[in-house]
Amino acid sequence: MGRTSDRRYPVVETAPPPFLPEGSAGILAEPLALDAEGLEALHSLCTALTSLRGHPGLLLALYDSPLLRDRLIAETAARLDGRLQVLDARKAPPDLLPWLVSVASPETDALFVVNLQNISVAAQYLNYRREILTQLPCPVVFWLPYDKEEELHRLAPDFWAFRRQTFVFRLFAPWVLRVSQKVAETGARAETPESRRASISLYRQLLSDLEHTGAGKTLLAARLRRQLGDLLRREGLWNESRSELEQALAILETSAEGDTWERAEALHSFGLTLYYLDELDRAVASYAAALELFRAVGDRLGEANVQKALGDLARREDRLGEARKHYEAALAIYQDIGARLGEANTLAGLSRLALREGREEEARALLQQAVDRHVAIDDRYSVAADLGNFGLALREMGRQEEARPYLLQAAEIFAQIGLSELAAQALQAAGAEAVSLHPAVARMAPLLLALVAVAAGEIRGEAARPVREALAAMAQTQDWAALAGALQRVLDGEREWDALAQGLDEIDQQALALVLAALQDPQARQLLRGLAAEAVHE
Amino acid sequence: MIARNLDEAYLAFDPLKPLSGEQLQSYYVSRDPNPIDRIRAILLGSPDTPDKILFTGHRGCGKSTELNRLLTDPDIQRTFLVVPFSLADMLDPLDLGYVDLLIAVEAGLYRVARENDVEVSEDLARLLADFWMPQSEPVGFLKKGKDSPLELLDRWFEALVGPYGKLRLEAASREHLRRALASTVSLLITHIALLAATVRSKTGRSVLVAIDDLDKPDIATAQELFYRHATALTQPPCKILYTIPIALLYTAEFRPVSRNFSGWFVLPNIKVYHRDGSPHEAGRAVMREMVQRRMDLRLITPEALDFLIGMSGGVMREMTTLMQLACNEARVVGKHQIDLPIAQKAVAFIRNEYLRSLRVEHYQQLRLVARDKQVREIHRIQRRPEEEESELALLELLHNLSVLEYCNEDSWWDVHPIVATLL
Repeated sequence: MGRTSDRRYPVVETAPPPFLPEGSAGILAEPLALDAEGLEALHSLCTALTSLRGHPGLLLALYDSPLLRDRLIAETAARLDGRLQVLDARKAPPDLLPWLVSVASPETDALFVVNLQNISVAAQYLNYRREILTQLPCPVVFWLPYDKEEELHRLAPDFWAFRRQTFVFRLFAPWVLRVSQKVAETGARAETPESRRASISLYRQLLSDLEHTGAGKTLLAARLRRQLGDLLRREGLWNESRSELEQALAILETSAEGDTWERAEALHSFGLTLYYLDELDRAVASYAAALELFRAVGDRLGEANVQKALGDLARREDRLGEARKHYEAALAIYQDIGARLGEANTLAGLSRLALREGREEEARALLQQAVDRHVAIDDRYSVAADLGNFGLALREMGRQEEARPYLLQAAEIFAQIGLSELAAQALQAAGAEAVSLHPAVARMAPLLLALVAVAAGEIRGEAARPVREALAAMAQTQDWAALAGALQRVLDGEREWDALAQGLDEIDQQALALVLAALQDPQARQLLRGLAAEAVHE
Repeated sequence: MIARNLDEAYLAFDPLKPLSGEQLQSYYVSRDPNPIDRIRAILLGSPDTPDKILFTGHRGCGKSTELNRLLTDPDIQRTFLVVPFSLADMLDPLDLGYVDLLIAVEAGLYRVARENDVEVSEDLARLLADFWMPQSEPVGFLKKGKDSPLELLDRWFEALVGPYGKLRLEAASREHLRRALASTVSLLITHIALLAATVRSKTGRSVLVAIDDLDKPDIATAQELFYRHATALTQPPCKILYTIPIALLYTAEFRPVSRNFSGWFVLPNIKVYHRDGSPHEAGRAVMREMVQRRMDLRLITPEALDFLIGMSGGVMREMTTLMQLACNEARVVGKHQIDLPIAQKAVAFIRNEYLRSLRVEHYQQLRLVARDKQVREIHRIQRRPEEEESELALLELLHNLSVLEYCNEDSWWDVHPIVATLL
């Protein structure tokens, strides 16, 4: 079947992106606490929205933290018996109101506009075009940061004059503390670059909120800064990581609530960051201080982690004997306390050490042990990392051909779990041509993402109609009829690759593979979401 | 329909919509004096003189409602082909020039004439088409083809001045046209004259252009338009009603420039207090009637209504906003009637908004106005540096309704009653 070069695809609007990073969804379930004034404002907002159902109306809601805003939006949605549409104004043109009319769903009971950008320009258009608000089928609430109110009032006085009411919501310290505590305890998701970046934003916002509520120098803030420092390090932002960890340590040194364990953790993290900044002497000093503190509080896992870090550092400096000593000390503790992840990581480190020492057989045996243990705890990322790092170690020794199979295996696993950047890096190291997604498939990502949501039962009934219509339209085209048939069968419940892929060409197969992977693996779904966002952006 | 409960009343007081259509019939309260009556008299008195009239008033004082009333007046409709338009739908409000404005007037007049089936002659259509679409023109929006000149022009003006037109959306096209037409403004004016003459000869009606949103640009843009290009704005040979920002009136340059126009009219706020602070009963009666036409007065206690009328400053939209705020708050606490505490709460909402918006220099100016009941003349263009901050503050106060003017036979300025509680 021939392909035309300029095929067009039915476009399905995807749901707006979550306004909180995925890993922080728990915050939305956290009970909302506001002071009396805030509770009254919320009640007042809900009353106004109920009355305005089916009528246009402008309401302004002011907040001092996006986290509070998102929690309030979730709370309002829960309290109102109706449909809210949250619109992210970052995607809107400066002349916002015509866009608002174009994207407002006729079934919506209230529109919430968040993330209004560049208020100085947007305000002037709002001022001129305010009459467009009367064309909306429902009330619209503009959620604005508290400090933007004066600017909007000054630059868009005519728009402002159209408001029915301004609702002010201020952070309530007990709520901020509770949410921060929850995040500090559970951590935020950081498996993929996207979730890591989202989590970094979340931590920064929480820390800013804690500052605002006067809790910026507490043990809780120190813990959040340490966790943020860890995330930044994983993101490769080492200087920023250092800054956060230094602040965490400064708080811990001056805080009345001195916490030895937290200080040990912060010193350990600080050492890891210094390692990446090539400040190895300072890293050793930091590790040594951490080791002492972990021993003082009897935290054997912490002690083992530091030993492992010292082993990595010594190996990097070619002090192989010393490295082995630290690795073995770490391994003994991990095994003793049953810390399987640490054990597996240390075995992987030992495998590369053995490789450097020329003990090939031992190196491969250790690698296999590391992989087996990572598989046992279902840590696919670490399996890929073990294989990839082993391949890189071989490559550094000039043994490219031997490295290749390890790197390719790593790339495959990274790709399977949706870490496309790491997969590409591994492929590049293997000297392979990166397998790229066909542009036609990339452009279809919004439709595929919506289709996955329908197939997973997350979008039902009338809301799923656009997807079914899009498939029907595709089925009418010569180029996409076969894929449309396969996707329809996915919607009907078929999940077997062999049954679905028959008769599909390479491009169709890529699209189908994306859909099936996204249905089975959250990380693949995340990858598809990223592609969809890019496609919409383009 | 008069609201019988607070749910209905909440919707009846809608700050979003000026009165029009049926609502104009049932909610409109006449005011005396009303400059619209004088404007109407000028328009009908000499339909063929090309008057240019400036119309202004404080934000929310009812300008758009009064304009709606004027433009739908049966005598006006009979005498004029009314060309109402919003510049923001046709031009880029953030980059507005007098050439753009003249193009918009020409396009607006052409479109309304076509919509009203006014027969535009082949010769005129050819002349316009030749002007706008010469083959050598580098703008190249549309080329001549087999279509008739009128069809070409329809598409041309749609592409140039429609909601998705180049003049509105493309800075490069705007710049090109301004450069290209700056030396041929007289031709644009000729086009408007020819179109107006066609309307006159084919329908017996004159042309009245009403531009409703020229009061919205910031003061600098308004001054650029009205002070530097007043001559161009007054030349089109038809009647044009321009709304302008009220702050323009307080600038020193306004008086000499205003002579270029046939007249300027201010829609005054309703006086709810006399200059000495005692209640102005006639004005309060107007505000009370405005409420009474929308809702059953049993839904609000007399003292609450009096309090809100006083706090509205006599600005219609302020009254609307206060009333709907009070309706909502009463329902929030489960009351079926607005009483004084609820009314006070509604006022507190607005007061807090002002509190969050006002700066130190604003308060200095507000105290002066409260003391003198006057505002100084503002030298916006040639002011002394030491005056800059205070004059800017005063302009902002006029712009955001913190300072209100009460005019007619006894005119004075005062601080908005809600803002006054902050001093």
